[in-house]
Amino acid sequence: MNDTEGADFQALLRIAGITIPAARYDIMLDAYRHWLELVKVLDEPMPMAEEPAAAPRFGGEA
Amino acid sequence: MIPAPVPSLAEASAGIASGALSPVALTEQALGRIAALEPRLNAFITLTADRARAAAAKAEAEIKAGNRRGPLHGIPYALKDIYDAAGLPTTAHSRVLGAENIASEDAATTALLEQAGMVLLGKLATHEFARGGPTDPLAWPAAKNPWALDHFAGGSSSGSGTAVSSGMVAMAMGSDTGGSIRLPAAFQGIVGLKPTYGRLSRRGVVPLSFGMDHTGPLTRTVEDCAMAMQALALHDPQDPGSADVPPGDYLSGLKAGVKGLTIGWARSFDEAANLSAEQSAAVAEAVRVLRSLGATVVEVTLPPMRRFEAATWTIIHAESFAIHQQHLRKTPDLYGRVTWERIALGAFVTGPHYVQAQRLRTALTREVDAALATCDAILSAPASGTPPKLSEVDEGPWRKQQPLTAPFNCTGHPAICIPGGFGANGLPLSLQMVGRAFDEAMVLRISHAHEQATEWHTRRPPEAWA
Repeated sequence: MNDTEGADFQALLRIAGITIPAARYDIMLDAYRHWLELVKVLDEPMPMAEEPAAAPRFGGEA
Repeated sequence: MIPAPVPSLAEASAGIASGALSPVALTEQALGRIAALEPRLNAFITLTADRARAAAAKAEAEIKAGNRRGPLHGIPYALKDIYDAAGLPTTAHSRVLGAENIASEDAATTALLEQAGMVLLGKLATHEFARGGPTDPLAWPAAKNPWALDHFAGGSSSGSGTAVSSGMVAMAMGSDTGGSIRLPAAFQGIVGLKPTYGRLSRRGVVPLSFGMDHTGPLTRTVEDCAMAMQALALHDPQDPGSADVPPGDYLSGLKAGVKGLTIGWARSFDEAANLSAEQSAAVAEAVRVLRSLGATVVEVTLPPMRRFEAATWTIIHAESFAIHQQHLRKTPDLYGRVTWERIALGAFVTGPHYVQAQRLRTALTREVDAALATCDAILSAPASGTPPKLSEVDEGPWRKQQPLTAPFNCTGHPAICIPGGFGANGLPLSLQMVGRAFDEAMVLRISHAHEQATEWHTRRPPEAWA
């Protein structure tokens, strides 16, 4: 296990105020690793004009 | 003897209009079929037989007196048990809410169906809070797939799919945050529509993710789906996500056919999802059918699934955690294991993640809009194939195989699943049709043309197990 990943995982759970049962710890840690892999997409640059205000079409824009 | 499956909404409506069918008799037929099948199918959490009989008698009296409210008057329906119905429990299939959580008002969509004179038969099984899985041990059993009891019914509107596909009811309401109307429809050989985000009210429906939740109907036929939409698609000023757009017309153009239309085929999007050979063949056959009916079919490119997944699941994880955090901390034992773990994934989402996901969502919506500017609707598969065995359903916190339905929760486009054939194991295959925002009418029109040119929707699940 990557020590930093494991420490981050435990910190996030502590901040969230939830506890993983020991029997499910490794499975949830694996899910966390999948999560980290997925959100790399969110680190890719986006134009500043790309704002969330209208996502997806609140207010009825057709 | 098992009572026959109930007629479609269109058939029942015509029968009631002509006087050949009585709402009371129709309701008794539905209740009799439920009594015969329910011990094996577990579609219902709460059955409201007395209330239904009273509502049917009232409808019958009104119709006989010349006061027929409209085409749905006197026809039974049922609600996924996350919809409020005044005086009835809303359990969300969870011990967290339980049977003591009695609704004081109807959900906005429930109220519209009641005003239309429909007859509520009860509340239907779901995956817990529309997020859990089919094998979690909960206070009520999971709904079964009548095509094969040991195969996945789809979720989370599993009971809605089961009640419709087994012929207990012609229409049931479901909700769809990542595919939860469309996947039970796909896996049970029926029709399920996720309308445009904002088209149908979510007020009075237990939320999972404010920005991704959609309400919508499951039916046996496309025409029935259009009839339900005609009653349901009204702006609700009390739902902050409701779009202030005029009511749609889903019926007048339903049978106009596809001649002259252009349909985009998301071939590369499907191929990247490792569809089964049977599912790929079903989509290719749909392309052939649509071309034979006069449509032009062109290939279109959609953004890669990975971008959709990042935006969609970041938002769902964060919003569902925000909704459930108090209960997750204080009463974790009241949740099923699958539900708790999936919602707990929201603990990993940071503020910047959430903002970036919303920005990405805007970009993806625009990219799908651009694809739809070149065609009238987009055809794709909804899932990789026929429903998997229950023993093979991925019930981990992180689902490795994502359905092809969730991208359109992210972008808010209307998307329907319709019967698309059968696998070698005799279980249903399905097609997904995606339309421009607020153009459910086009999605229904194309789906109806395909349905009428094929025979998949006429097949019924076996009843040998009953």
